[in-house]
Order: sequence, then C-alpha cells, then structure tokens
Amino acid sequence: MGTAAALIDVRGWAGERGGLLLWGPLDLTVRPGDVIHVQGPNGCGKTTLLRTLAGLRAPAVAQHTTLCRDLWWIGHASALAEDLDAALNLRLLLDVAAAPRLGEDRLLAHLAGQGVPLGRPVRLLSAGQRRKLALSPLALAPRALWLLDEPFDALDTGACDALAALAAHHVAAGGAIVLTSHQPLPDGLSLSQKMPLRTSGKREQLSNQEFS
Amino acid sequence: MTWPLLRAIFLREWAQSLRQPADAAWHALFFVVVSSLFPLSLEPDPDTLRLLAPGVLWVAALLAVLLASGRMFQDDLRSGWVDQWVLTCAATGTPLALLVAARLAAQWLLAALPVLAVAPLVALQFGLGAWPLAVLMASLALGTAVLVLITGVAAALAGGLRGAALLVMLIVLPLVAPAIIFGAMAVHHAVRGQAVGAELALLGAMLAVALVACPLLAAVGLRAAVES
Repeated sequence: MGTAAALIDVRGWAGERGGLLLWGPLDLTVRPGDVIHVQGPNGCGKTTLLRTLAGLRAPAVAQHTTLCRDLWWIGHASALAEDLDAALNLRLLLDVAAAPRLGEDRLLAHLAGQGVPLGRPVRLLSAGQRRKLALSPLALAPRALWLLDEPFDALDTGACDALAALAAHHVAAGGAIVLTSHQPLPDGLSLSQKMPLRTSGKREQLSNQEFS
Repeated sequence: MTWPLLRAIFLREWAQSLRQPADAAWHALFFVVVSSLFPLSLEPDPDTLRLLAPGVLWVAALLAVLLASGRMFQDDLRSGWVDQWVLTCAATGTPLALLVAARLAAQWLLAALPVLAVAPLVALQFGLGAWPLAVLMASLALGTAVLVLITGVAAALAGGLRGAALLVMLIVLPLVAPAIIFGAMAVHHAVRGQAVGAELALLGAMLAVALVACPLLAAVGLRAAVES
C-alpha cells in the first residue's frame, strides 16, 4: 500500500453509456498528493469516468472497487439555480453537500474576492463568473478528493492561475485531484499522471438490443 | 447535519418561487379559469351547479397541481442539483428518500397551496355553502398532497426522458383516480347534508400510505435517472 492509503483503488473497470463500451479495462489508484489528468477526444467517456469515480453511476464491469466519499464533484452542469443570486446559490451548494457551516461574511468575502457580482441572479452572470461560483466550494470546504470536469473552461488566465495555485495547495496538503481538461494545464499545477482513455479493442456494442 | 441539508433543498424551491411569483399565480389562475368556464357554459340553474360543483372543482384543482408538478425534477436533474443529493447521501448515510420528501413538501406548498387559497372564491360561483366548502377544502388538502406525492414518483421515473410530461400524465391519472372518487364523493355528501367522515378518513389513509411509499419510490427513480 505504500506510505499513504489510496483514496481510490479500482481494477478491471469498464465504462458503458447507452449500451456502448466507452473505456476499459482500466486500473486506477489515486493516492494523496496525486493529480491525474484524464485525456481523450470528445465522447470518449471522460465525464462518465469521473461520474463513476464519484459513485454517481456504477461501472459496467468491475473487479475491485474502493472509492472515496469525501469528495467534491464539479461537473459541466453546475447545480446553480438560475434565478437566485450568487451568495444564496453558494450557501445552498455548501449546505446540500453537508459542508461545515460558514458565516455569511465569509461567503460574501470569498465571492467578492473572486469578482462574482453579488446582487444579480446567476442567469445574468457570464460563463466564467458562473464557473468561479461553481468552483467556490473547493476553497471554502476542504475535501480529500476533487473530481473536476473541465474546471478551466471559460476561466480567464488570472482565474486559471488562481485555481492552479489553490489546487497545488490542496495537493500539498495531502489532497488528490482527478480532472479533465482540453486546455493545457496552468504552470502552477504539476501532474503526477496522464491517463489517456481507451478501450482494449475497437468500440463495440455491449448489447444488440438498445432501448430507444 | 441533516437539517441544513433539508433546509437547503426546501429553501432553493421557496426562493426560486419568490423570484418568479408569476409561476405560482399561473397555476392558481388556471384553476380559476377552468372552473369558472363551467358555470358560464352550463344552464344557469343553482341545482345543476351544486350537482356539478364537487366534480368540476376537484378535477380542475388536480389538473392545476398536476401541470405544475409534472416536470418537478427535470431542471434539478439537468443542472446536477440531484447529483449533489446523491453524493451527500452516499457520504453521510442520509436516506435519499428524506431529501426527496423535503422537495415534495416544498412542491405541495408552492403548487397546491395557491390553488387551495383561491378555491373558496371559485366555490362561491357554484353556490356551495359553508359546510360543503369546508369539506371541499379538507378533501382538496388531503387529495392534492396525495397527488403531489404520486406525481413525484412519476416525475422521478420519467426523469431525463423526452416526452416526460405525457408519461407522467399516464402514470399519475390512474393512480389518483381513487382520490378523485372519494374526494368528490365527500363534497357531494356534504352538499346533501350526509356524513363525510368515511371519505375523508379514506383520503387520509391514502395520504398516509403515499407519505411512506412515494418518497422511497421517487428516490429509486432519481437514482436511476442520475445513473443514466
């Protein structure tokens, strides 16, 4: 097991979506301090892999599965309520994730520091501002594992660097990150592993009967 | 630990509804419009109206609440809000059904309560007296709660599907038929001055069963929807 116990240890995983084999067999061990970049073209199942690692869906095949429950999963869909303002959305995100309760001033200070407008409904925010808001729980409530789907999407250079610095701090403190990104990662973030997704053979239909 | 979680689920719906009051008002308005068209289109005879009132009011109220609730999980699923419920349940051991129950409670307050609030006004058009009106309100309160719970299961099952609205309608209508029958019958009996205890007790029993079963079933449906 090495020095630190693995947060995630899976062997012989295969992923499927809509009856189509996406990736596998796949072995993955995530230890504290790891930054793993899942790579592959659009549609190769990166998001499916991250959702499976989060425990939101079951792998199609698995020989061994140990997952970490102390995690933040931040996907493309950001779980924000369009009509509510940023502060209330952040409060709801933290509460629904059962994160320790923080004072209102702490939330407001964080959002102001991020440059997210406070009084406006989320639907009026730019894509980058929404992303900053969706990523805010990472800074406010520490968790062992971050599963991030395209976290740098829509962020400006400064915000990318800030996120990379936050991630480096998280990793140095014994956290781990599994992320996907089509952009090159900012310099502040050093990868421990690149993981290209592929199947053993060509993509094949798992079953002949597909439900429409 | 559980309380802030349930509060967040409830508060999100509540705050959204306060920002968009037109939505809630629209459901109540639908109820008023549908049930007002009947007295206008029928023979203006008080006895006929009193005879038709229970059925018309019940059907209009159920349709208003059903229209409001049929897509209740669609945005939550698409935005990834329900993903967070499932993750928290896995991390803390809180039953998902409890979170679903909080969501359904909010749905009843936001979709059914406005309809109940305007029901006395509409009942005036049908010449319902004080006692039949009281029975109508009691039976609608129980019946809409049953409806919201059953619709919750159907909406969770239909989850991310296209054409979910039609599917929800098909699933829900047969299941709420007993509630319509006993609810309208209670009002009929009240109009005729007969006892209504049995019908209201049956509605209460339906609500008791639905309160236990529906959050559990909806949680199963939502888990499947999150997986897909």
